[in-house]
Amino acid sequence: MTTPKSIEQKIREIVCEVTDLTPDVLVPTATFEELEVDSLDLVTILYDIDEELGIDLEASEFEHVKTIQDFIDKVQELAGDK
Amino acid sequence: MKKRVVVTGVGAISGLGDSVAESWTNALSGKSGIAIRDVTVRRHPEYTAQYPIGQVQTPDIRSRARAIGGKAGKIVGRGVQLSLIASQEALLDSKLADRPDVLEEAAIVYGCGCPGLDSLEEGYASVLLRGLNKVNPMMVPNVMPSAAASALSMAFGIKGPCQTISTACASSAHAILSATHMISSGRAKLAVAGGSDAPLTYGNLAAWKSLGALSEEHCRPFSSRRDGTVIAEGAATIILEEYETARDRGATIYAEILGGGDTADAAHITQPSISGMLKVLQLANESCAIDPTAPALISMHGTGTPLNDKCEAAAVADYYGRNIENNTIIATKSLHGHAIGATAAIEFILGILAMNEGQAPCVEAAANKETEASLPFHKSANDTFECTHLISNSFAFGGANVVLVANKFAE
Repeated sequence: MTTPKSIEQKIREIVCEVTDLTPDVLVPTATFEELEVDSLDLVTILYDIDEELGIDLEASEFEHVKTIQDFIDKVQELAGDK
Repeated sequence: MKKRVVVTGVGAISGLGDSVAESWTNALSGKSGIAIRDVTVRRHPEYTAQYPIGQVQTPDIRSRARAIGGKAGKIVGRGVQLSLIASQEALLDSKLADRPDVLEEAAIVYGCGCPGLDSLEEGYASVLLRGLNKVNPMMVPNVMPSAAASALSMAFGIKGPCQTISTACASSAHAILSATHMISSGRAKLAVAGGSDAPLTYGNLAAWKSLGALSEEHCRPFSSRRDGTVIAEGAATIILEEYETARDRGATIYAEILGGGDTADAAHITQPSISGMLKVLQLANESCAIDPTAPALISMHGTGTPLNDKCEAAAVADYYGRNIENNTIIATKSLHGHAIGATAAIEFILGILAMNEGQAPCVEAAANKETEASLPFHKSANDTFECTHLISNSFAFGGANVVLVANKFAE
């Protein structure tokens, strides 16, 4: 069964894999801008989340997302809706 | 006044070896990187076929490329990854890897014959086999022919001219020649030149098989038993430098590139032309003022297809005439396969090493006494030879021809 906690863990793994960031820098309040995660990274992360977790996401749904925690919360919110 | 152009660093990765040193050792011992292997559509093992291929066997290509390339390493294509590895080796070899001031002014001219085939196949599989309505967004940059050149620019901080040449099998030969002209004309003092390709996809190999150009088991240039070529992956990079700059910094110089010839056959999209091959051989030698009686090491294009090898043998015999026996002929695709956009650069590096050492990998067909043409093919890696210069042939589909000419370096 896929729990919210396991989804969060998987999202973190995907973000690290795409961006080469290490897990320790993905603190909840870190922003994408601070972490230098750009738009190309974002669409790649969203594609990988779809591939791994089967959650279909559009980049436009993340326009107002700033922090890592915002991102994780949004993915889980959208996953629940789909 | 034209500047002299010298080679100060080399790097290569292919089925023959993980580095130039390993490739050369394997080449001299006749240890071919060609083997019959499975080729599978990623995530779809139901689409698996077996072909003789030249495949890089090092398992950690992706992580090595990412460690080298920073953001450039995120470009997912295997051809780009191989280009980063080969180019890092070349830059370390040239002792310029830690010279951002020099690299900032350098040029890149890189060859690629069939870019991003892995990404393309994966994208089509996503849509057509899995019914998805999206594809990996990295497919877009990865299928650009310029992906490797851009990745090298990003990885090594190179901000001069950044060009890609795509002329099928002659791509990296054109790249080397173009970079040579850039330096000899004074447009650049340093250039990163070469090529990469990763064409070992299910679809691409099926296409080559349909064309009737593939061997059933091995690449046998100039053999009476030859039945086609073997497709391979790889990357090779050479560092070209203006001679005076190289001399002043105490660089190790492998060879001097005199130039070469490049022409088009205007004949057929896949078939070679003897007259076209002859013309470019003449142009290369005459433009570099080569004495046709001087002993040359000739590195043949030698694909192992019935037609290329027959035509190339005839053209070389015709050009050299009665002086043909002064030369030594090698054909290395039996060792590394036909790596399309990378192959000319791989062969050029092997040719330079052979020219300098007076030793070369044998032409397998000659060692096995089964050559079809009567030419001075190199029969044994244990035999030594004399030569003053290297002639390196590349004859591509579509009739794009390049012959590179390099000398043993002398002050």
